[in-house]
Amino acid sequence: MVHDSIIEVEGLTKVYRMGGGVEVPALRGVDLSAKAGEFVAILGPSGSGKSSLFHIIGGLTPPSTGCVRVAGHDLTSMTDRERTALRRHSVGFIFQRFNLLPTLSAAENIEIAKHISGNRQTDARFKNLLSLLGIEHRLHHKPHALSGGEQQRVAIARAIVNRPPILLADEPTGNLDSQNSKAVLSTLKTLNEELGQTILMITHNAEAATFCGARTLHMLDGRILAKESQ
Amino acid sequence: MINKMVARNLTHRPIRTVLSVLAVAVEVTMILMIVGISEGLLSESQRRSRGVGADIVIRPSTSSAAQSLGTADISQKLLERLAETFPEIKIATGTALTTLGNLQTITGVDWERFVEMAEGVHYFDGGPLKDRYDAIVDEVYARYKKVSVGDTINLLNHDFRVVAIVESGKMSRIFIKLETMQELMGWHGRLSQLYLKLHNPAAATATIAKIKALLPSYPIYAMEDLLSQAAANLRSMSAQSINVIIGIAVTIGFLVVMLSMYTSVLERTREIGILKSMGASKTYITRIVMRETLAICIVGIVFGYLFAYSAKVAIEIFFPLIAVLILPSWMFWGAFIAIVSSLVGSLYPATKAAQQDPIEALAYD
Repeated sequence: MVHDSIIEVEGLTKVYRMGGGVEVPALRGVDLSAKAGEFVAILGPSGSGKSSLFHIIGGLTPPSTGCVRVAGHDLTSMTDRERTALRRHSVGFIFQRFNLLPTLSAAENIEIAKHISGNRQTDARFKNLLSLLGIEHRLHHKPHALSGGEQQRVAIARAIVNRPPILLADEPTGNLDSQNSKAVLSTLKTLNEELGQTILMITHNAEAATFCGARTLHMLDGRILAKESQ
Repeated sequence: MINKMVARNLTHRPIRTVLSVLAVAVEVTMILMIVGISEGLLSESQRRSRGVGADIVIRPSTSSAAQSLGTADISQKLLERLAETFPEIKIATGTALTTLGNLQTITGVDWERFVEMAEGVHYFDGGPLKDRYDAIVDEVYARYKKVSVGDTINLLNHDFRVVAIVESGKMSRIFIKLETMQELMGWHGRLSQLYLKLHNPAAATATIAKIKALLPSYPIYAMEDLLSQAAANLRSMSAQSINVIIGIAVTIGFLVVMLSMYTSVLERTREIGILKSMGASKTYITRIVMRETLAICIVGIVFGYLFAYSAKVAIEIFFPLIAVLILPSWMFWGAFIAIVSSLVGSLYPATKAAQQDPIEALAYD
């Protein structure tokens, strides 16, 4: 295993145990590594195991077998509490459905992420980032008053407010029209190129991966195919 | 930040929040009212007993401190004998009383002796009992029944003429002549209770010992001892019914808060998943649910106090014979019980929220 990578996955399997003792394998031995500052896109059809990989790398669920290291943390033997701490400090999530808290304003949605991580600092750099995201004038609106593109940009701001080493994006443009998709992908690309943010993006849209200039991995039936593309 | 989120969550579903607040308010109101009525009646009864001005009370040989009197089993001759035997006694008088229902009693008194023992009675209108079917009522009864001096009221199936309205707080709300009461009830020469006023109230204990030597089978009490014994017995007797009503109130509060928080947690499954994806710990999620419960409780308690005081005012206006005493100690206990029952009620929803799997929660629609 190469230890200069920020994400290292080796022989990862994930088996879901359903009712009646039925076992459903979602990942069947995934090997993956990503260096700090890299933009990696994982492409694959539905059911290929992309989301399971996303959830395990993000510390949302433990692996069944295999080795997973994220930002220097070995997830294999982590307790639930330790995985929660990993999510708090090392990983930021962007979801297809934006997942903003509907009762809070955009600013408060970002603020809550800071509060959970115990981050009480006012970051001047983050203010510039809000300007870059083009949402600084929409911060006092609630999610229902924002367009899909604006909601996703708020979600991006929330995901990086604590400056996590890794940003995980699960189909970030899946709910957006082409114009907003392009704006969100441009934002992710800028974050990667200008700020050196490591991004792991899951998508079934090859064009999105190409647009971002990401190293692309293909998944099928719970495995990463040997062929890579840039 | 948590407080801001709690406030937003509570205002997001105003009807559910209002219902939860009302449940806590009703819980607090029920506790304050049941205890308030019980303590109010006891306090009013003690105030009126003290208003008699007696130092020693002698009850029938078959009675106890807690029993209400409805018969007359003491010979009136005993009163004269005591006055002659014990020079310590300044005034001795006796009453014959019976109940009229609705928490009312009617008392037959030797009015002159009674007024002397009570060290005066304030007349709002009218004057002392003179004729056979004269009656005196206190201001509370007069206001409640809307009677004035000169009106006729029916007591014990006889018409009585109201000859005076006096201040309340002296033994009874309705007074008639002792002889009339004895005649109507068939209690000739008999009394329900004896009251003794001493030259020196500090000598009550020694005087009681002497009287007990003469009348060994009669319960004889110093007034304050009688009142404290009666209070203890009445509190003991009413404790069960009070506890049952408090139990019902607590159950209502507990169930409504639990159901409200449970539906709130179910409805916010996805939001809980979002918080967990950001690294919110189980403690963090539990704190949100518990703070929401506490906020509902605090508002509910304030409304409970307002409802209880409103009910007290309404009772005093519409049912002045019922006294309500809202005690600060029970305001504290009512709030404490409401908070504990609500927090216990929210434990299960809070635990359920804290233990939700973030992936399942994020997939929840």
